[in-house]
Amino acid sequence: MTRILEIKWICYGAMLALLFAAIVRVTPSKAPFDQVEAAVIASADMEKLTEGDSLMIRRLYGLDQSAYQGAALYYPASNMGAEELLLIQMKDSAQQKTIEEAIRSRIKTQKKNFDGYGIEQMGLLSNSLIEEKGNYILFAVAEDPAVIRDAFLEAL
Amino acid sequence: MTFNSLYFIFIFLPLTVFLVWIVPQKAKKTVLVLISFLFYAWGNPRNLLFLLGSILFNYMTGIQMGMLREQGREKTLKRVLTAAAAADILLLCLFKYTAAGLPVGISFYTFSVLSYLFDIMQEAAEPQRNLLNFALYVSFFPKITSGPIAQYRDMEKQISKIRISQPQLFRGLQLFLVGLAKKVLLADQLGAAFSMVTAQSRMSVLSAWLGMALYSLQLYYDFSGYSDMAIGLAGIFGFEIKPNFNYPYLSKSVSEFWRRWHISLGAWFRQYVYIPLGGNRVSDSRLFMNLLIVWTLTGIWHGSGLNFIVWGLWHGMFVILERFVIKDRFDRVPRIFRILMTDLIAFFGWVFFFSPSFSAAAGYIGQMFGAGGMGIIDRAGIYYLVQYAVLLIAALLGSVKVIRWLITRLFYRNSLRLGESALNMAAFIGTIIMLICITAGLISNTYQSFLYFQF
Repeated sequence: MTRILEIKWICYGAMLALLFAAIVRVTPSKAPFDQVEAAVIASADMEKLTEGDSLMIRRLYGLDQSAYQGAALYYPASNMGAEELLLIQMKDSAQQKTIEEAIRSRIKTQKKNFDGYGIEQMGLLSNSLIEEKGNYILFAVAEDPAVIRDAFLEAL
Repeated sequence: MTFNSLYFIFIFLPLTVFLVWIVPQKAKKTVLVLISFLFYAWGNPRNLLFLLGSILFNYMTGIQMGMLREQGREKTLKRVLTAAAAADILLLCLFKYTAAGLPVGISFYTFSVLSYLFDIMQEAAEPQRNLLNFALYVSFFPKITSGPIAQYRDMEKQISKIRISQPQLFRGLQLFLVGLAKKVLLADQLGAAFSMVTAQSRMSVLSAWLGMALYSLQLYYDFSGYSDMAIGLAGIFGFEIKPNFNYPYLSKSVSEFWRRWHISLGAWFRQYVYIPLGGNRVSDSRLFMNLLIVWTLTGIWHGSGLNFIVWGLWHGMFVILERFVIKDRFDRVPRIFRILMTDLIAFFGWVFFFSPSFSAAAGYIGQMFGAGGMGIIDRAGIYYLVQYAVLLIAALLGSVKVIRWLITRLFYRNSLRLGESALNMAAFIGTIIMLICITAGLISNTYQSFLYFQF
């Protein structure tokens, strides 16, 4: 009986430890949204991008801008462009899954759009990155998304 | 992995059925548990660690409770149950109310393990000695992500021996397809319509009410579709899980609505909270408190936001009113009016459900009464109403049994006259047509997650 008790609570302790590790990892950043957005924009080639409003965020991602602390979208200025930036500051971590799914769905749609003729665009989309840190999520489709990611992480 | 992905439908499910079917009887359970773990870990292996931890922790608690009962140590037994249940609930709350990221299905499987512990306490079930059986009960892939929350007492015998039969397989597959059709052909379309209508920065009264109706129907088809899929999948592997929905929008009272909507959650709260608190056999003041507790907990189970608590209390308020004030006074009111009134209450409640916060819900309700400054009817409202009229009417008819009635009346009875083989052939052709429509829908639409995954 004592053995069962020990194993049982060790098991529970391990779960708590894992949970606290997860909490520490996702501790929200206090950096203001505008500041992070400015840093991301500064690191990207904005000539190929147009700023999107809440309607465009809903149309392209199916996400409600007002549900988040902050959300900014920069989408391709031309039909032949694939470059894109989406930055979201979540209100709570439960939103993460929905956003990730929306981003994956967007990538899928874009790949379907360019499949068969847009070799360059397909390359950009395959090379796109999704970066999550704390309460922020960044999605970047660019020639060098790593530069944008570094700027994003530095701004947090 | 989700039930409405092409990968699940055309690769994972057929392979799983094939594998479980061909392995010897003795190995079926092990295969199902391993497949359930794989299904759950898909996309986020970290979550599997919590599931395994929960299985081990509660399995050992069950063993411990069994030993204490044999020794006649009832007081210690109660203490062990209280500590374990508190630990399970604490873990769930920490996940729900911190930034840790909620593992999918944790609210559902935590209620499953609690059902197991409470059933042992209430002597409705024996402690499970076989770890594999217990692991299957908790992790069984058709129900792990969003229920139905099958109570242990109903699953105890089923998990001890898996029996797969051909008729069950076909019935299960049919129910799975019906659920998938609800999700892909109706819920996802209603969801897209809801997004379009509510994307307006300011809405007229018409648009706001249209948005509410679209979401109410979307939620019904999304969750009842998911439940049909889960019950159908469970049936494929020989498990019988009780229905989770029974045409809730045909309810004549809010109390009845909750006997028809998310039945497994209502049954869980009734069995493990309401009845232990005394149920109906208490004084009026105590009954009032019991109902208040149950409905607050129902709200909290869905989320930590004030909007969910208000939503729970909104329903609780009407259940209490029906119990203490209305009683049978409305019995003479025509059925259709009572149904419409109940639907209005339920639809209104969903505004708190789909809004990200209480203030957003208040803002939406304001627009439903003209606070959007766009008048009662505007061009956008009329445009969306006309555009989605067919979808809305089809969804409404389906939610109140009309489509089922038509299928039975026109298809089933006529086919029956032609003989059983004609009926089977017609059912087969109908199933193939449905599968083609669903596949086309899945390929052409962007992926939509299930609404209840957030809980």
